[in-house]
Amino acid sequence: MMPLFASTLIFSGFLALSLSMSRHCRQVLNRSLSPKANLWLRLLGWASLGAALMICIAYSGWATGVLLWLGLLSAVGLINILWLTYR
Amino acid sequence: MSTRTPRPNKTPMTEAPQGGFRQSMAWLHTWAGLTLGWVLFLMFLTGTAGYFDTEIDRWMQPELPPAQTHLNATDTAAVLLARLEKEAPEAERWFLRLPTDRNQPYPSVFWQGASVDAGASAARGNLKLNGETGETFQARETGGGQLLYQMHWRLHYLSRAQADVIVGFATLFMLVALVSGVIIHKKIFKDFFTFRPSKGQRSWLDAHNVFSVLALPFHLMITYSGLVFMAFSYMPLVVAAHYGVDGEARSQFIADVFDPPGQVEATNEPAPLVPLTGLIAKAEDQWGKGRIRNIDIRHPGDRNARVIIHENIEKSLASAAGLMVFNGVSGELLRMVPKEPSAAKGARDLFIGLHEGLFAGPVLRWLYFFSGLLGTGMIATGLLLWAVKRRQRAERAAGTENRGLRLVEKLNVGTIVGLPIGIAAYFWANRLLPIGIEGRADWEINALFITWAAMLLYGTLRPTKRAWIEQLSLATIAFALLPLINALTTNSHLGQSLRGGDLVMVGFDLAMLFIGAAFAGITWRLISKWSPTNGDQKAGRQWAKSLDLARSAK
Repeated sequence: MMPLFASTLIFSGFLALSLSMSRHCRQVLNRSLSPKANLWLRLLGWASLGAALMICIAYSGWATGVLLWLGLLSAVGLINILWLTYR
Repeated sequence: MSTRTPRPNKTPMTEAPQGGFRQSMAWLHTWAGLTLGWVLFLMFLTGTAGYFDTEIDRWMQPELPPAQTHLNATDTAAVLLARLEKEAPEAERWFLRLPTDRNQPYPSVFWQGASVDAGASAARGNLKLNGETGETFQARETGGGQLLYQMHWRLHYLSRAQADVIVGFATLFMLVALVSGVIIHKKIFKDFFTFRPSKGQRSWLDAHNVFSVLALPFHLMITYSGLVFMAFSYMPLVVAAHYGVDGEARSQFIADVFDPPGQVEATNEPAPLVPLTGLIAKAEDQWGKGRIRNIDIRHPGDRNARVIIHENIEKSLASAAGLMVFNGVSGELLRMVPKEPSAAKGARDLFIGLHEGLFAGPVLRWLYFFSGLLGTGMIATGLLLWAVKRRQRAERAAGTENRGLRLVEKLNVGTIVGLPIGIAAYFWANRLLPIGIEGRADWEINALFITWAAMLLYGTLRPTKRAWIEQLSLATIAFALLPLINALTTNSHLGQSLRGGDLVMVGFDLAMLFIGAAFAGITWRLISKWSPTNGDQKAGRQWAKSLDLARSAK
């Protein structure tokens, strides 16, 4: 259950980070956001990824937790990219 | 290798020194990646399959029962030991492997230096045994998942020395391509989410970047640790300086690094072997129940017998485990060897552990597999990008098409699709070759290489686009029919294994269906893209529209 929870956090983190970039923001919302909103999105994005890392470490210890997090970043990241492209 | 310089990249020439550096890195990236790219594709694909080696083993020996990891150490050891006493009397060494987890699903034994005069079946041997009865499993002869996984560094037909050289250069080139790739990819963060489909060369570059960047930590780890595996072969002088250069010096070095300390010679005075029950209890007190992986008995039945109990490596990242060395007559604990005896060995064990991923549970194992697929995709898209770029240039300026480009295009289709078809042929051969024929396991793997060679040849005989579509269709059929072939030739078909809850068999069949579906998707996409006017997708759609108009006009 924990890896699934971490995956959702990673998906939302990547989503926030992609929305903070004008190219993807136009793709999704058809407009650009203010610089302040972008800053918040970026903070939110990195915070979600960080929280996912904490969950992975709490779930399976330091060493394998970091590996689990990196593996999830790869897998979920691809879903984010495909979602942006083929929504 | 051609001396032609690659197309200048888009860095403005005003930044001359930087642009020059990036350009030379781009050149390096292109040629380091291309030269041994097809070998790297083979290494990544079969290595990735290797993350499910024992699961493939199981599918390829459907006669075996599900894994026996539920058995307890004391009883299994007693069963195995009884068999060894019968099979290999007066041996120098008995080695018992207990069923621990997916890495070692069945018990097995091996022995060395047994006396045939005293009734041994052979001086040395290796048997996979039923842990409940001690009987040899009766199953078809196969190379299994192990052979498929070993291919990624043994390259099968070559000698160890030849394979080491090729694999070594390929791995070094991979590392060079990764580092130079990071340097020339200027906008790693900015382009992180970027994929623009249906834009020709641009799309291939995007895909290549996505596959590379998404799993970059994995790619760097797997490549660097791949080199660490071979360090003794590639840097022999370090060892030679301390030990000498002859064979004996080398065995001494290997023994010093890998053998448990405190080994003694046999005295040739007989003494009964201590019952293992007490030793197993001591080891399980120390490590926990079910945490014993192997029991290594040196000089059984001698006054100087030693029993070495190995801890399981599951849950520990580094491929190292603790040892307990017992006196094999009195049962006294002589020494405990901790997991990491030295920093250098610890570092080596860590890299090897990360590479093999033996510690990984189901979730992490799938993520390893997935990262491996991304690496395979990275190499495939890199090879395709090389060809697409030059093909577009050749279409713009007639006469620039050359033999090199045609060769790369043929090798691409024959390897990127041909090798997977070869692997499917390996599985087909496992089910269709008559059981009991001479050299069955060899013919399975021959089937892989014959099929791959046929696909390479086929690629040269057909126009490139036709070859892609036809081979992709063949790959679809080859994988999608595997569960059917399995159902027709064994009792362990999908319905049966689903009902019995045999997850390994279910997983394999479903994975084959999924791979078949993926190939079908790619085939369908290429057909719709390239038909019917050989133009782009838009042209295809316009053509379809005009057909509709013509029809409605009637």
